[in-house]
Amino acid sequence: MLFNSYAFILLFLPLTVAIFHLCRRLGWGRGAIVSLALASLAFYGWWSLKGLALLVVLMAVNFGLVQWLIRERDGPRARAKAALAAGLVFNLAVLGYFKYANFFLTTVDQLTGLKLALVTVGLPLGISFFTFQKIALLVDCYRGKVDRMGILEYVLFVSFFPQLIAGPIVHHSEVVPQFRAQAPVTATVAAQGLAIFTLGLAKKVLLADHLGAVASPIFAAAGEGPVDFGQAWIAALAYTLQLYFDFSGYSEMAIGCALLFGVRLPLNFDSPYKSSSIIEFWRRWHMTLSRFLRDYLYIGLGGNRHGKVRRYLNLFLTMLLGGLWHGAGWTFLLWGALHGVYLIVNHAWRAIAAGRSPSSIGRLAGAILTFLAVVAGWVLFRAPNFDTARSIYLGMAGFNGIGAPTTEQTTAMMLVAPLLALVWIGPNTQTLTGYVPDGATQAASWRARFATARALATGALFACAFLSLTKVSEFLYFQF
Amino acid sequence: MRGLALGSAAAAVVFLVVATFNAVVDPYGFVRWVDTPGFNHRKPALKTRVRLVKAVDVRRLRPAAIVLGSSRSHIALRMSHPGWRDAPRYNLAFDNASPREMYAYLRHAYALRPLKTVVLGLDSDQIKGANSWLAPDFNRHLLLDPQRPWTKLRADLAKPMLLLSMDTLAASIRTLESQGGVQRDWFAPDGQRLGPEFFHRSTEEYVTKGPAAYFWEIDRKEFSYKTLQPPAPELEPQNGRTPPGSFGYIRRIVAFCRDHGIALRIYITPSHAHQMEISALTQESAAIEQGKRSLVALLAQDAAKARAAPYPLWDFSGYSSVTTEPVTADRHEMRYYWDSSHFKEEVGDWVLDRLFSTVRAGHEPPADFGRRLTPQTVEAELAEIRQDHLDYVRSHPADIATLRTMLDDERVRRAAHPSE
Repeated sequence: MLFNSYAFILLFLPLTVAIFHLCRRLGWGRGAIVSLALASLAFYGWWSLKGLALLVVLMAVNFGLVQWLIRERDGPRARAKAALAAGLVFNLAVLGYFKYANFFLTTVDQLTGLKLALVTVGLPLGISFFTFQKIALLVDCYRGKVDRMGILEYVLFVSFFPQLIAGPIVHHSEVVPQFRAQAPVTATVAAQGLAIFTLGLAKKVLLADHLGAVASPIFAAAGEGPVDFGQAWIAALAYTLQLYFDFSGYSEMAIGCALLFGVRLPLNFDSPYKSSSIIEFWRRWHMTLSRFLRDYLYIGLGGNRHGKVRRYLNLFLTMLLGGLWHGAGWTFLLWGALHGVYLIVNHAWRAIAAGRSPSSIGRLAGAILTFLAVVAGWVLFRAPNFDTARSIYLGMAGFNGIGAPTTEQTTAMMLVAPLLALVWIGPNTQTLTGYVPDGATQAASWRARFATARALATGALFACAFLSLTKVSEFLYFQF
Repeated sequence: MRGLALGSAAAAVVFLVVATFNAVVDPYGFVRWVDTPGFNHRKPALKTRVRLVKAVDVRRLRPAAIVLGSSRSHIALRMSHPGWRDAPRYNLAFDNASPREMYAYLRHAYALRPLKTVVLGLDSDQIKGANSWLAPDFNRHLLLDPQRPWTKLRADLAKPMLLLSMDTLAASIRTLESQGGVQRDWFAPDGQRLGPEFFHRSTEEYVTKGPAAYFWEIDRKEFSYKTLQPPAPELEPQNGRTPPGSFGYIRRIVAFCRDHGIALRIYITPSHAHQMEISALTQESAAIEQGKRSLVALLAQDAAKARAAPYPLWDFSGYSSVTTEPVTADRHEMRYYWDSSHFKEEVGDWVLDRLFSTVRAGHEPPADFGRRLTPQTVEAELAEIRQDHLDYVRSHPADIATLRTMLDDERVRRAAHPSE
């Protein structure tokens, strides 16, 4: 079920929270974990029982592999390596089959004209996210970072419903100890969780969905013919904002939900559009994916240990595969390649600048350039094909004419412009709520933040977001 | 705790204000606290969200007899026709209804009260095996299902939730804004959309463009619909599978009526001959013929299986003195049609005369209007329609030439804008 649905807000979440805390109040900590694990499986099964069956099978196989790797921790490395290889092949094969088989077959078809039959399978929701999480755990087991893992905490680790579908992608070391410790959930923590959830919900239903209604028709029109300068820029900027509010909103709802169970998830966004370089952008955008790609792919490829050329190549390959992770399509691949090039240029520039810190004007220029580069990338990311992307790019460059803005364009800009200002200079959710993932927030600090005016505003914001749930829409990142 | 209490209080105040405002203005007409001309009596949502309105409104009457169908049946079939035997009755047809939606509303109505009579109006498009889709205002949460008792609780909860909605708030504001001017009610308490009251509103294109221009405009739109790629159907919620096509749902409707002892009467709607010509020009005639054969075979199989008389099937879509009414050339109204798709109540009454074998002295339908389709008559009927089509093309060269030009123009436009 969706976070932004009546079923979730009115039924699933209150019921799950109530049962969880009732178990804990009765001193039945293990029962609380069981209830949370069962609720998580029910959450996933709500969409598709077939998907749930696949998730359970993947969990069973991976749990076996985890136990194998833990047993081999002090044994011969060859056997541990074999276990890890088996785990990687298995998980990537499943991901490849469900997500990339048709992309592969279509590409072969186009190259050879063989008319291969396509695979008739649906994409299980969140498969990219939970596959990465399982792979990360296997690698950590292989590296000897995991000394024990019970079945119950394993099931909850891979199915914990707040982050199951679209992250944040977590390390076992971030959440499993929290499952074990069962920190108390005070009214202050619950209020903080609800406030973060509310901000995320509002971002999704009050901002992202409206921005989507602006961007989508223009992208559709661009697929059929030229779009002019104003339209193209409105589409690109509206989608840039939509994606941010949609995905960061989802991540915040996940963080807020998890707090209600006393679990602190890592941050996933940190005002990415304020970045003054692409390197900084990737430290602020989808932070848990960047961390995964760095730790398990970039470093796995050799990182920066084999000279400058290999380092740039590794960067490029990491971003290329990161692009493919987002979607089985050439536009995603090219988007990944584009960011790979951006990063190489950025690192090369830094090497030339040799540690000199930029002036304030330099930082501003860097921020503008970074933002424009990111917007250009999002056009590729959003476009269903290269023709559509080309049409938008030509429009943005003024090749399709620059006319006086229409009434519709003016209305759209009245939505887009203040939101651009918000993401450039406004505070983000963690600033507003004082949330830090390592639990260092002082209750007093949060109480001060949640003073009368803010509490009233948060309640009213929740009501407005809730009233806008009628048209249930799905999160953009579910497809990845 | 204080912060939580304050936040909850603020949310509660917003909910209360919005829900009360929506309940008082009542844009969908299901609260009925206030019904004041000039304030909230006229409800634009009756047109734009008719599925939602009827899902709730039908619960008020709990009918024993209903009409299922598209806007054609919605406008033309009177529930006060003397042929109806059971009461209360409700016209549960609505704009662009697909057989999938009709099946859901049939189950909904049956869950309210076991039905005795159902009149099912099918358009040619619906029997040629197209996708069976759900419109954006279709809301399954408002519908009951006799085999799922918990859907009653779900629908009971969904109704007040409609008050807690920005959509409803927007509809409330539109309701308040649309109260000016003089306008007669066009939505009858028994669910019928009253054609004269609806089409004669000053803002309707039927009035602003005039009947002739409006008639041709609808023909042009029909080409537009037919050349548009339909959206992929939503998966069935019960099993997550791709739903059957429209014919699959007609089969389910027939089986449901048979299993529950409902007297089902089916008719193929009497659209104007122009609709048949449009189908011929877009190469759909063979599929429609095949649809009629399949429908006849389906009813025969159903009857054989149930060891009962087959449900009657009447075809009014052929060329008759009604359906070939000359298209008006000026601002004079046609006698039988609002446009080539929608027929008037007089024609609807004749349809019900045939379906119920009613004789209304002095108001008998023309002898050539409507044919009962059976396994024995279907081929002869189809052959007659083919011949009548050739005759119509010969006798109406100007009409056919205009339709051909419209199709050519539409193909050019569609090539440039495939999804508009």
